Amino acid sequence: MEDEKEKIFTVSEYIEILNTFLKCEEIKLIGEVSQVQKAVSGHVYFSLKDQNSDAVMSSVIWKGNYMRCGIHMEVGMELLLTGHPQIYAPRGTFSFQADTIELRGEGALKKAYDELKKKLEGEGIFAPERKRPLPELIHKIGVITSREGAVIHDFVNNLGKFGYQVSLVDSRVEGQQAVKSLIEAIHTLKKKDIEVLVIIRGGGSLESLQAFNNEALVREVVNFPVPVIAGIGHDKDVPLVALAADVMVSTPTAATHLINYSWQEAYAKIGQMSQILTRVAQEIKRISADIDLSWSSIIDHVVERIEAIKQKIAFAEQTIKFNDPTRQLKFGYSIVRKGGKVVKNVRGVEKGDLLNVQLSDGSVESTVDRVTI
Amino acid sequence: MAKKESKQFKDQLKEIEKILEWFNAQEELDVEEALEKVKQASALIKLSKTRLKEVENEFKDIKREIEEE
Repeated sequence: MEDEKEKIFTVSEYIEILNTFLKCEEIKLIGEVSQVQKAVSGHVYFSLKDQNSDAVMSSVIWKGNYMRCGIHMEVGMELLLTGHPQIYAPRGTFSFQADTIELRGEGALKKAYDELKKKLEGEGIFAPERKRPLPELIHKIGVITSREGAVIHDFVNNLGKFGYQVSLVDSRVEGQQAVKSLIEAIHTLKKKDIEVLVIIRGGGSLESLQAFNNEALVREVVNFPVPVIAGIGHDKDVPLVALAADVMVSTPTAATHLINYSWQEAYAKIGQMSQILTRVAQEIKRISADIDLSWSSIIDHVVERIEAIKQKIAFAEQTIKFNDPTRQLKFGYSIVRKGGKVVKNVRGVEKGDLLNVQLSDGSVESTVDRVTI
Repeated sequence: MAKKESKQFKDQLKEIEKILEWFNAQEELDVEEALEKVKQASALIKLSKTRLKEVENEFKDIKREIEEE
């Protein structure tokens, strides 16, 4: 301890130590812009002062952070800075280094919102023809939201059980500071194999949703390689990110309905197909039974008909046999023919005529001796 | 059964029918004519029996084929 008390610092060493202490905690600073100087490098040097006193803080925001914030800084603007103070060693000047700047006051926010909306509209960013349709039967989903809070739970609880693969990237979603976090999350998911990106958060005022009215974020959404669903709750002014997304819904639950839709439709179709197949099977069974019945009826008809003809022929055979004159020959009768013709009476028969007498087992040739009546 | 054969068979049965009607209609049988009719009827009955047997066998074959499927 004694050694430390007696230590003599160089200026740069001392400034470095001071800057280390000054950087320890993130500070929020509010005030009105009294002077702005935009350097060629893109960094912006400005002064922030209290509205009701002469206190002034020299401030700076580096180009990258300034661009990301999407605010065109002008004298008179009321800003909320987030960052930390520092001493610039080459000149020994004290200034506040802002990481983010955000507009304060509903009027200013509304004005910035309207201006950016008009600009993006002019570029066709919100045009319906630019919107991409959602793929059917989505499987791989990228989700950006805060891991804390009810939003992610609503989303997960309402997402159907269709075997989804969800890649969640946690992000800040409140205030201007969320812009950086949201853009980083988008960059992370850009590298992942997903079919749709879902950006969700609960409802909020224009002020709390201002990250979602950021130009850089809007452009990231527009240029995202797969369709983007925005489920961002809002009061009156629709967040520009939602307007730029391919599909906009007002709640995380509505976003899940969109994703579930094609699966539910597919399941319904399968159900319908299954019903149709069952009906077809029943119809085949019915027709088959009809054919069996018809076949059996045909068989019965044919068998009956054959039997009837058989009986008819048998009856005819019996009748013919019964009426056959030669049948009488067995009982001692005979058939007498003269010149091949049957002799039925003695008229035309004379003595000496040659007669043929047919008997049951043969015939006799005889000559007439006498004719008597 | 081919159409021609079917017609022949039907005609034979009709002829037999006619001969039977003839016999039924005779109060006194003309022996000569009766003998002629008996001859005709016997021939027709023989043909009809043969044809009916063929039809029956053909039908049995078809029935067996269908029932085996």
